[in-house]
Amino acid sequence: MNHKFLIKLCLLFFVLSCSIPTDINDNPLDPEEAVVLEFDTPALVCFPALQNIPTGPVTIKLFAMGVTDLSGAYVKVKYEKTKLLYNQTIKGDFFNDVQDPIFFYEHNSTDGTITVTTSFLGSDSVAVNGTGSLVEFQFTATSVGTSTLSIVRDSTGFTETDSSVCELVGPNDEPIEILGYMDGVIIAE
Amino acid sequence: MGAIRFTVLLCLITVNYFLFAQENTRPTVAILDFEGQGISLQEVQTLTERMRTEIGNTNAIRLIERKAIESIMAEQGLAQSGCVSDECAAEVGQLLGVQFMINGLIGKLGDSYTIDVKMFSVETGATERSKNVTHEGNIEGLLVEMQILAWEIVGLSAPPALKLKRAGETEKPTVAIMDFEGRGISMMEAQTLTDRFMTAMANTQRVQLVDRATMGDVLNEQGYSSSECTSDECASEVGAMLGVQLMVNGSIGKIGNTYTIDAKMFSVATGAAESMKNLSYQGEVDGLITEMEILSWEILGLQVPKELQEKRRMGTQAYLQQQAGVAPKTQIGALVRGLVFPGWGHLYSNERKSAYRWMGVEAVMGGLIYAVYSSHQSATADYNNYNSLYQAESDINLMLEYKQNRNNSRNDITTAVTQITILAGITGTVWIANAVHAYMNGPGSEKKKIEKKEKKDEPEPETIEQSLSKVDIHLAYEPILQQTQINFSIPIDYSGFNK
Repeated sequence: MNHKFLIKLCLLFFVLSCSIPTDINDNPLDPEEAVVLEFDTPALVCFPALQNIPTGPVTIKLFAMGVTDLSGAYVKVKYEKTKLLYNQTIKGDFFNDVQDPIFFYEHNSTDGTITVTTSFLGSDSVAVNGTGSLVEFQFTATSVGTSTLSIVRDSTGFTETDSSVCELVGPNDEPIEILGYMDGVIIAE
Repeated sequence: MGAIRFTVLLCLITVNYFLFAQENTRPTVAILDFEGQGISLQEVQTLTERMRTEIGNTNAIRLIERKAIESIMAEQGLAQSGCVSDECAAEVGQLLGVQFMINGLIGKLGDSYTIDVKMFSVETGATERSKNVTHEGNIEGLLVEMQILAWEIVGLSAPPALKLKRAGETEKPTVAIMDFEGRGISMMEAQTLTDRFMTAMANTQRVQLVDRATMGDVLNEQGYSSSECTSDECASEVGAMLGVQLMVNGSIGKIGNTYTIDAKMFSVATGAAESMKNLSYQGEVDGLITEMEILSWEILGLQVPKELQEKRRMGTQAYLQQQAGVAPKTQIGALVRGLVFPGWGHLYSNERKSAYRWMGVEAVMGGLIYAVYSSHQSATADYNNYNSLYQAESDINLMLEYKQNRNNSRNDITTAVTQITILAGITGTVWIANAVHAYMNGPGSEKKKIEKKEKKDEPEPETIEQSLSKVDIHLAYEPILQQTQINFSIPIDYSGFNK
């Protein structure tokens, strides 16, 4: 009886010694934490930025974060085709309105790239503000390991036939400078 | 002047008359040399001579000298060794004019010696008394047997000293212990303590003690009870009858809360005190037993054994517990137990009320800690939940709401941890205080000693129930009945009965 009580008592003191949890603000869409995550807005952000999943289907969205007067976007991403099997591309909800947005994409299975072009066709306004999903990509993780969905922003993402980079534009087709990028990381276990 | 001389002369005549009259009442006896079978003539003569010498010490008969017997037999042309038949012995007896003749046979059978002795009437030829004994061992042992037979053939019991000598204890002085006189304590208590004194003296193995029953017999013969024979003269007389060399007597007194013991060992032959010891003692009665044991060693001038010294130092109860393998209760023991579990140290010291109080306080503190701990666990669960929601949420407003909720949960955790830390500190402090308190009130502490003293000195009970609860019970050995008795008294004439 006493022994059991003592064990419980010791455990209690052990538990009491646990520290207060430290906040981990790792949501890439949290504007308060963007600075901590070392990027600025306007930005293109993969969400979730990090996924730990078993091998199988995985979804990753691409967000336009902290934008002003956005009416169109050209997005190009590159994935590791040895680890990810492309399934499909679905339009995001940032440009949703009475009239569906212009949305078309192209998947290059040879290069492992997907390019998406989308434009806002609003009834009351010509542009959107804030943060919202532009496109959703669905893959299947085929092998164990870490793979990255990279947003093509410079020459490192160029291919032999395509040297374009992501772009955001306003109502008059003026470019919006993209100040931050957050790639998506998938860890298949 | 003339009248005085006449009176003295008359007294002397009277004394002589009585002594003479007593002398004349004792029967006349002659002892013939025993017949020997398997042992030499010289050995037989030596052994017979030992009986003659010893039988004279009994003062129960008038013994005819050996030379007178030899003279008569020589006149008749007989040799002692040849006169072994009863007829011959009776004839010699008639010639000597004695009333009784003693003859016998000493034989050897294997490694054993046998002695057969007979006393018969010269006039009638009837056997007055016969004894026999078998002795295993050296022939020298027959000397003691002959001495003992000398007493027994005349119808007396051999002195204890001789019996002890037969038992082989010859070099140790013989000692008899009279019951100590009780002053302020009951007779039975005095007898019990004397018994312990006697046992302890026997344990010294330096003396031969006369057992209580033998001494009781002698006292009864003298018309005394053990409690009456307290004077040195009486003790000396009893000692002489017992045939012991030393006597021990003494007294045990009680004055207030102090016991005094006086003991004296004196020589029976000279009456001189060989050793005198006295001591005073304050404390529990059972400690008096130890003092008696120590006294038995000291009065013999022996070094008191370490065990007894330890028993005196520790107290009887603690010593017995130690001997039984149970560690004696100490203040440190109470402290350690108090540190292991609140209240245990007090239970160890038989302070149940204090034990339950400390346990209660600690239980309340434990309950409070558990309650705060529960809220801490709940807040932690909330925190983890909100954190998961925050990380998975892409809607900015919801994300911020989850984040805020998560921060609130973290604040709750912080508060709970702070409270637990404070409560744990208080609990720990109370725990240590409990151990210190257990130590201060532990066995052997000054407070315990004072409490014991106060309990001992508490006034007489004032109610019937209290009175009955104070019934005085003693357990003591009653030597006359040779059994242990419980002696108790109930105050039936108590004034509180009228209340």
